[in-house]
Amino acid sequence: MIGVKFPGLSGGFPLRDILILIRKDLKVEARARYAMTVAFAFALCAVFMEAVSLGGVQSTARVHSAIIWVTVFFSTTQVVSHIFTREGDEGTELILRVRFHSRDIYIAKFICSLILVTPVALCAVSLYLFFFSIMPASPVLLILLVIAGSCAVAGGSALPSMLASRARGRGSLAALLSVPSVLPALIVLVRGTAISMTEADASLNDVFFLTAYGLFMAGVSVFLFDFSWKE
Amino acid sequence: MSIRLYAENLTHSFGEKKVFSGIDLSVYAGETVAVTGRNGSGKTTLCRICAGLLDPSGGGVILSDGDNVLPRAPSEYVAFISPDMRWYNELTARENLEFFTRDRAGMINAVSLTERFRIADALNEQVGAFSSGMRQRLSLAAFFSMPCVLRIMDEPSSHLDEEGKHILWELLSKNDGIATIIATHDWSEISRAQRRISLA
Repeated sequence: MIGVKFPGLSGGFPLRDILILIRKDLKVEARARYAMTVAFAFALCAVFMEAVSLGGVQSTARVHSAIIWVTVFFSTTQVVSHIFTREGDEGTELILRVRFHSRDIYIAKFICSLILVTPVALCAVSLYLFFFSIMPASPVLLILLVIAGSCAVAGGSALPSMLASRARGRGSLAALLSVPSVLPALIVLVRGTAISMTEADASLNDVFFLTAYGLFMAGVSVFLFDFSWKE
Repeated sequence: MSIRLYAENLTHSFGEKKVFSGIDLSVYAGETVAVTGRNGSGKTTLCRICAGLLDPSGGGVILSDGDNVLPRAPSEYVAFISPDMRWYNELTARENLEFFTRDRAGMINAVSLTERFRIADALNEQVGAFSSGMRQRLSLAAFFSMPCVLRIMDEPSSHLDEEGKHILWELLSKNDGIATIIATHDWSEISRAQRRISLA
């Protein structure tokens, strides 16, 4: 019996393939517009309902930031899960598997998620600040936190989204599965956002932590992605 | 003739259900082998295992260029086509081909094949508007543009009209030294193959 276990694709780090995959994903998303439209609409509706139900109630910066990040989390995980589950839903998975290495597919989808999630998160936070008439003491820190938080959410929810694509629950299941892996980042985000609302000279430690967390989760997922991607 | 694919004692199960067992298969350069069998006999599964898309439950597969054992990686050495392959509906046929072929040389080759398959006029249309026959022609143009040592075709003539089948067989009958495995129910295809393997 032949017991040869074949390695994956040989060769170096194929940046060209990753760029081809990112361009394809962005083009498809730009034309379909489904994920982004749903995410923006979800963020708008959620913030509007929060404003209507909490309008006039005095809340602390910590409570505001907790509400902001729960809203951002559920808005953005829809985008990430869509990026990862769309191939399975639309039957295009086989084309990818025939032509590209799973590592490149994962890296491209992570970067694409990050590109799409960041504007959704920025929009959700801006809407919240507008509806609740909040002026952050450190707007630059807040913007950096949103970008780093997007990285953490994209990194933390990518693999759960891939696992969900193998199940029947799909998008809704992806958000639930993402909670444990994104929770540490959410805790830091809530604290950091509260600080950015009240302190003008806050440190960037939380931004560094969130970026590192997102990249670490993405890095771990590169190695695990192959198992969930295979038939 | 040098060997391209050698598979021994292949077994595969989905959970409790055994699809096939003890399959031996060797395919040589320039040879076409037809894989036949009733629905559910495992033709598609065998094709995917040979293409490196699926790991067998037992046994092994070796892919070779005649001198060296090659990594069993579909994107590098094996061209694979299946009716399950779907193109991106939001992209045009040209954009789909650019994405699939990955480089300029492959794209030039693929575009010339779309002329052969008579879909070149529709290259700038979104694939979402294509009929299933046109999609299959696009898949075949992309498939034949891939550099490879082994072609694996799972029901390649599905959705094709007689003209499409004729073009397909013209391309396959070219003696380009590439080994070919075809899983099919179509007797006109089976009769054109040099060898036939029947799955029970």
